[in-house]
Amino acid sequence: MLTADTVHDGALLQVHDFRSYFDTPAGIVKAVDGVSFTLDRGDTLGIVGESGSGKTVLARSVMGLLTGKNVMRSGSARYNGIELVGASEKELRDLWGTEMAMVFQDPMTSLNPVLKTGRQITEGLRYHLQLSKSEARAQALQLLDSVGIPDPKRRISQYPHELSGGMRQRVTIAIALACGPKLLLADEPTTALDVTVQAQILDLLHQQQVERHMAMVLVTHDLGVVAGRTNHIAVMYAGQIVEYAPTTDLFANVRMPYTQALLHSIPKLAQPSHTRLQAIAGRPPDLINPPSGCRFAPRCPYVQPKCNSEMPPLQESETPGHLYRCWFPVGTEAGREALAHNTAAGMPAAVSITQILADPPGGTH
Amino acid sequence: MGILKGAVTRLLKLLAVVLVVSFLTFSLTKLLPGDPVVVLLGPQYSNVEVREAVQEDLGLNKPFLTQYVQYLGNVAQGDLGRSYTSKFETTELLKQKLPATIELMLLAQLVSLTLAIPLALFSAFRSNSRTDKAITTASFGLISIPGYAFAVFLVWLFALRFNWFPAIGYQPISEGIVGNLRSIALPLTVLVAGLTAVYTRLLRSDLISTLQEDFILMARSKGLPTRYILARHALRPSSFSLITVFGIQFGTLIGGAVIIEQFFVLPGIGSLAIESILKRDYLVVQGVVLLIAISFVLINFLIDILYTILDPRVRRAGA
Repeated sequence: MLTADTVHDGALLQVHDFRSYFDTPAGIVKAVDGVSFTLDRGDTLGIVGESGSGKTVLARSVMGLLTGKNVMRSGSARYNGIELVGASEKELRDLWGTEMAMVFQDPMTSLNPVLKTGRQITEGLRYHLQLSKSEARAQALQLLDSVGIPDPKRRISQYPHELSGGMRQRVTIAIALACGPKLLLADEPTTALDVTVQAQILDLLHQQQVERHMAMVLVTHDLGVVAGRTNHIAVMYAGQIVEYAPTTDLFANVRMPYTQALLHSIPKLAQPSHTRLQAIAGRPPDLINPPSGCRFAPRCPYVQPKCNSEMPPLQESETPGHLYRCWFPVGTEAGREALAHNTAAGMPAAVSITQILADPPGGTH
Repeated sequence: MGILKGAVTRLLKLLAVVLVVSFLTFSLTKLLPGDPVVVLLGPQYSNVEVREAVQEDLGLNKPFLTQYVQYLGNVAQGDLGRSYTSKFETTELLKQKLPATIELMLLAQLVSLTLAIPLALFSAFRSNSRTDKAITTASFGLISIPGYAFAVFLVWLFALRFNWFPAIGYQPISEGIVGNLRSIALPLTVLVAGLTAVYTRLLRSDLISTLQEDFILMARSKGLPTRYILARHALRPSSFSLITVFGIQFGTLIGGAVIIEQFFVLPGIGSLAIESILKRDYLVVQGVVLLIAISFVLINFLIDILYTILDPRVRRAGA
């Protein structure tokens, strides 16, 4: 049996060289390929990346939710000192719900359509905390109230299809919070929701996190979502962390060209209408046969011959705790030279970035 | 209230179905060659007076529609007419023959479901494992074998070779439950084999797709035990096509009863239907078909209600 209180320092979740591969008929998909990070109690880590970067797989497989013969996990993920990689389903289940919980992307599909919302909240309470039916019900009402659902008494006996999207996501949050987890993994909790509801849900998560002194991993494709709400940000690309920094430092000193491209791809209100959106040209690489050098090299405006042959290591910048994976980082002499060289050669991605840097749209950058 | 209203409209529709069925069987028995009066009178048929007297007596000389309306009127009062040949009331004959058929059918359905649900759960949860492949192959094999062929094999093995069960005959429950169960063991096995195979395959494939759903992942992330998730979260949303087919199988079973009851010499509705058809005892045939139609329609009405219980989303769609 594993014991929970062996580590007394601040780290709640320590992930080291974590890998999650899928064995498919086409080959081995390296969805998460050597990821390391540490999350302290009560802190928030934002994991950012575009679709297919491995962020959802990372969240799910750290928790151990991905099972199946074709899933291969290696490396280390320690929760409160407990090694999760290689732990049995039974050992993991003892942690799920009570120690760590997950909020899923789409509340339209993550609630069971044939069970009343109340039951979906109380079943965990009754199983883990051995509450009686009425105690569990009282607790569920309180939870619904705390996640901002008006008239919980009515909602508790309704089915998911009788609730709006935002309401359902509040219910899934109530479910995740039910047994008092110390770690909440929120996997794109607002992506499937109306824009008007997104901020409310994020605020709710933040408020609950502070009240319960809970650590949170916030997975999103939207840098704007994590900007004001996280302590650290990890930017993922093709299964790897390509930049990792305290939130304020990341936005102040972007090093990784991919992060820069992500930032510029956010449309800004100050831009005149009909401004062309700055999409990142190309597509994330094939995760069965990823490029041998830097994985972003095929799309990078800063790319140099070295990038295609040698994979850059995660290195620390002059700011402590700011890691990046690039040979020609943004904001350094090497980076400026590389970009100037590519712009002179007429590479479209480089030309467009150079233009943006010279003439920040809307004057905000 | 929505449920009640839906139920009433559905019942009316079903009543229409029963009317159509009764009309069709009534016309069909008139269209078939062979006159019941021939069977009834034998050589006396050539005597015109006697023949017409009998036709008059049976109401066969009246126009077709009049006969039908009269028949319906009697049916509404619970009178299905009297057998031309045995002079028994049709309702009496049905009462005699029903227990064997009902027992066989209900037991077959219950046993099959009881076997199929755990088999499918196991098979789906461990899909592509060896056990799953064994279950899938076995059920595929059982679906492919016709019931009567399987029946021959069972009789040879368990009745003739080992002498464990009687090959033919039926002992009513009133004469002892053990003897009763022994007497239907072989026909029951034939039916159960086919049904279980169908139900297992159907439920397995629906379960496999349900297990891919986000809400299953969500339930797992709550740390709930696997058995609980399978039983509480996966089974219900996977059971819709199962119960549809379950209802339809009642119809197939009644049809199959004709063969099975003949083969094992069971005194059921199926045997009654065959005997009556061979004797041109049309009133009894009509009675049997009407009863079958009504039960089938009622069973599927109950299945429709079961839908609304199992799936709350159907309730709102309001029938």
